[in-house]
Amino acid sequence: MTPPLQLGVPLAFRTREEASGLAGEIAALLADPPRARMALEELMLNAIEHGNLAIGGRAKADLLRAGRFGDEIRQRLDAMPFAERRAHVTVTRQGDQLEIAIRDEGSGFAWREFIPRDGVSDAPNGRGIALARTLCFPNLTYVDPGNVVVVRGRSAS
Amino acid sequence: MIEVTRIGTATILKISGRFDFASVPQFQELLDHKPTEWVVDLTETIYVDSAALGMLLILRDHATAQGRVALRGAHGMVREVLTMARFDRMFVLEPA
Repeated sequence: MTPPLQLGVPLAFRTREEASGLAGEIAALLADPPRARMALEELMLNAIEHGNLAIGGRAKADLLRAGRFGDEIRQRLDAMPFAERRAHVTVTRQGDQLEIAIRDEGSGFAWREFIPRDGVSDAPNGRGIALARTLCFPNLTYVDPGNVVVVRGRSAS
Repeated sequence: MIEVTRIGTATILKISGRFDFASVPQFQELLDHKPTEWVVDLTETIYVDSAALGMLLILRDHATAQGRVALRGAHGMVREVLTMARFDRMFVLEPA
C-alpha cells in the first residue's frame, strides 16, 4: 500500500505518468474525485509539457499533427537542461478546503493572455486550462511569471 | 485500450477505460486507415482528457473529404467534456 499523501510538503513529479498517478491520489482527497482528477491532471501535464519541457502551444499542435509529440516528450525528458527539472505539487488544508499549488521549473507564460477558449476551435490542443476551470476549479489562478497555478476545492468529508 | 473492427466501409474504434495522453501513440497508428466512415465508440470510455480531444480533431482532419466521424455512446463526464469543448458542433454525436 502506498503511504498517505503528505500535506504541506511539495511532492515532485517529472513524467506524465507520475503526474497522472499523483493527480489521482490528490483527487481522492477532494469532494468530487473524477472531476478533480481530470482537472488536476490537465494542469500537471501542462507543468511538464509547457513548463519544464518548454514546448509552446503552436509547437505542440504541429507535433501532434505530425504524430511526433510523444517522441518529443521522451527526448526532452532525457536532454539537458530539461532532464533535471521537476514539477512540484503542494496540498495544504484550509478549513474544509484544500489548496493545491502546482509549480514547474520553466520560465512561465503570459497567462493573462491565455483566455479560456469558449467556442468552437479546430486546434488539437489548448483546452486544458479551460477544462480544469469549467469542470472543477472556477477559482483557478496563475501566479507570475506563470509557472505556478493554484486551485482550491472542497475536501472530501 | 482501443479495439478496431471494420464493418463495410466503416472503421469502428472502441475505446475502453481511459482515453488520454497514453492512448495517443496507438490512436496515431490507426490513422493509416482510410475508411469512408469512422465510428469512435465511447460506450466503455470512462475518462477523456484534452489529449484525447486533440486526437479526435486530428482524426476529423484526417478523414477524407466525404468522410464522416461519429462519436457513439458518450455518457457521464465523457459526454460533459465533449459538450464543453463544443464537439457536438463538430462531430455527429450518436447514442450507443
